[in-house]
Amino acid sequence: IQYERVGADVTMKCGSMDWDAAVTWTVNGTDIDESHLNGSYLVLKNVGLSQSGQYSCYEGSSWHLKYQTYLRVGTPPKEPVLMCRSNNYPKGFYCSWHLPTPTYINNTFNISVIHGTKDMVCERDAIPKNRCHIRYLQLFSTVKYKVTLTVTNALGKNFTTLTFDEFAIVKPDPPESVVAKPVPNNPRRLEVSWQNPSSWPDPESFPLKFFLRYRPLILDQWQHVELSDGTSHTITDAYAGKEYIIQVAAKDSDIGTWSDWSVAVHATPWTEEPKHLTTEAQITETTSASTSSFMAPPTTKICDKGAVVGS
Amino acid sequence: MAAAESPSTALRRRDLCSRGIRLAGKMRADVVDLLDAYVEQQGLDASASVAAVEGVPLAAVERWDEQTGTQRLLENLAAYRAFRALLAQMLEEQREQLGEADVGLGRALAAVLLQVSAFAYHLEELLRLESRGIPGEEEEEDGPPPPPRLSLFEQKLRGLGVLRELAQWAVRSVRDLRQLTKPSPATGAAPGLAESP
Amino acid sequence: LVQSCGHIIPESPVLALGSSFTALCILNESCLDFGNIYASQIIWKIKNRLVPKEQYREINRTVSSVTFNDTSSLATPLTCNILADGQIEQNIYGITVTVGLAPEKPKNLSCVVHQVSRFTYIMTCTWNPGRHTFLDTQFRLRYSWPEEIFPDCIPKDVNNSCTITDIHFFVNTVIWVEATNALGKAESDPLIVDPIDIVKPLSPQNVSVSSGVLPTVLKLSWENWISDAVMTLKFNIRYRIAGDMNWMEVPSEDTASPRTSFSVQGLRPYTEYVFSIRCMKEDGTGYWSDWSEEKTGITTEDQ
Repeated sequence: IQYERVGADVTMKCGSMDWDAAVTWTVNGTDIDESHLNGSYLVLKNVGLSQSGQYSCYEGSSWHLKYQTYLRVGTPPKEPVLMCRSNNYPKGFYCSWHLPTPTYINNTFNISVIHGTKDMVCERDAIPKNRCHIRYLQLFSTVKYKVTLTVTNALGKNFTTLTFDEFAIVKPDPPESVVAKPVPNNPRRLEVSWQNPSSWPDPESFPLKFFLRYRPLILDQWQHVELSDGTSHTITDAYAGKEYIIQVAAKDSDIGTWSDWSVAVHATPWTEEPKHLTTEAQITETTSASTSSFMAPPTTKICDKGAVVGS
Repeated sequence: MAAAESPSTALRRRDLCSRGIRLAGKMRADVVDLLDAYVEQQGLDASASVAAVEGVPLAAVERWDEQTGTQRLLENLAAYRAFRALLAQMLEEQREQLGEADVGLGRALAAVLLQVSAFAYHLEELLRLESRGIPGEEEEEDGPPPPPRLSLFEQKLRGLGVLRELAQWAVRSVRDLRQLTKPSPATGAAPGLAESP
Repeated sequence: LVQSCGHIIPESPVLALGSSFTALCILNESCLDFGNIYASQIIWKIKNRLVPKEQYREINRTVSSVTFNDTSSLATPLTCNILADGQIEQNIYGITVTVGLAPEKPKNLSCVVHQVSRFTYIMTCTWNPGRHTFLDTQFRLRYSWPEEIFPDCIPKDVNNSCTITDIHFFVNTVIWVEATNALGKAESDPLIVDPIDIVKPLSPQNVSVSSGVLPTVLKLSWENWISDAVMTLKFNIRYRIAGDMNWMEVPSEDTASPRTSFSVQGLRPYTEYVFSIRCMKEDGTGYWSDWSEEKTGITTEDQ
């Protein structure tokens, strides 16, 4: 296989044939126009991705195959995007990566994880391939982790290094099984319950705290409540008769950052004449669709009680 | 199996644990604030990595989840006694260096020192409740060795190392105390210290 | 008698009200010979009032005593005088006499932790100092942990309260009052409390009122200036129509959990309302904050 960069000028010789020999070039079995020939050499200027293919050169009269190659046009890898996160603290953390732009040719990724002076094994996940996970051998360490991801392909090589503290990458998955229900005879209440993300291994020793946001569909502005324990909350100031959208985020009580928002659920407070309940407990919505402006979950700053998020 | 706990002891223990968890949580918040102020006031680089400083108890631990309750308490107690001495020394150095120039930092350091003392006492109470012998301060083999005379910059770095480790210890202590309040799977009652993983 | 010819013991005593008291006037030997004076000639006076002779006793040639069964009649000065030849009264010596009471045990000790700014708390303790002692009585507020004794808090200009500025939460603190004067010392019963349970937080800050889509709803937003590491809060919200004096209150169970906003409903369209909020520790221990600054908002018109 012959690899060439996009935009490169490529010249192919017809094997051992002389420059002035009569030859025919084909790409993927299709004859190539003579304008691309310089004598018996094939000259491809400023190659593009579409010019990848199997190039063959045949001797003029006998049609003997004199040369054949597979041209792969691509790019060297850019600095890969690497992300490490612990969503199952304190078991371990995973790192996942991707390239900011495709290279159109095969790349190989190599990851090294060093904690202080100790090399740690990053066990590759079968699926997805661009991910591996590391078990915490030590907890509560002030020594930083250093993760280096090197990506190599035929056209070049690049790498990214992340250095982080154990605590900094702790980010749970969103809460699960979020359910919102009206409270009979209470036109302004909604009962919301949820569960710890199943990926969080030990909520008892490592309890999560939660951030609930809710708003009537008729408004854009969310209201927020931070809950330091428990997996349920009663909204007491819901607009009577108005359908609400509700989401929950989670965070370790002591360290790390907030999870993404949970799946949005809808509910309408109890009203005098029972209406068809529009509780759709598990409407899977892309959160950006359901909220007028998708707000990334609060940064750690949210824990500063002075800041009101979402308003 | 540890002898069944009397209700009053269990109540006292739960109170100490829950209060200790809150104290450690507050202490951590204060230490993190102090760390920011210390880095700025001492002109240090917040991301500087500090090699393990002799005499500073490391919070890092392997197979944390396998520790017994007594191990947790004893390791915590040894650490906070060491921090008490280290913070007292930092306070002394602070006064020597700056006199009363930076009262704010000195007061914050003194406040954290008091919390460390209070937390150490909490741990001693918990050990007493379990009629565990409390190691005397002199018996601490790795009690803080007499501090070598350090240069000003080395003092600052050691201070950074002390506060960083203390912040980690505060989180670890919260987790340790939570482990102590976890009902043991068998009896559903809070385990005797020897048992609790 | 230029040179002092005697003295009284005790010197400047402090005496318990209602107790008995005896003083001795002791003449110097040197004066006896020179002045030809004897203990029998001693006259005791309170201020300038003669003490009845029945209260005197001549102990010996140089010593005379005077006894008072009830110090309530005593005053300053108590003087020892000689009625020398020729009936000229000469003062030998005088003492000041202070009469008062030992301090009573201070009672009703109670403390409140006031949040004075986002990160600053002070603890003010008050107590009943007990009866007036008529004496210079020192009060000191003392507090400690099992292994830590803190500097005493010395009241300024008052004798029934003191404010401590160094507060630490989540540690059971023993607090007591000590009263001391010349006649004794008394200690209050100790108050054992975790300061976290006696906090009066700052009232909710930066309250804002915004009207929304519905003409019967106004949304309140505010900031809580107490960190979660210290405590979580519950709230009371009250509101009235501008110009009207009657407050209405949102049911407390509706605001019994941590929050930074609340939509008040059931309001009259196109009407100006005044709102105020207060907060306290979520579990109900401690004290309500003051009501917040009042803020107004107007509901939209009913389309």
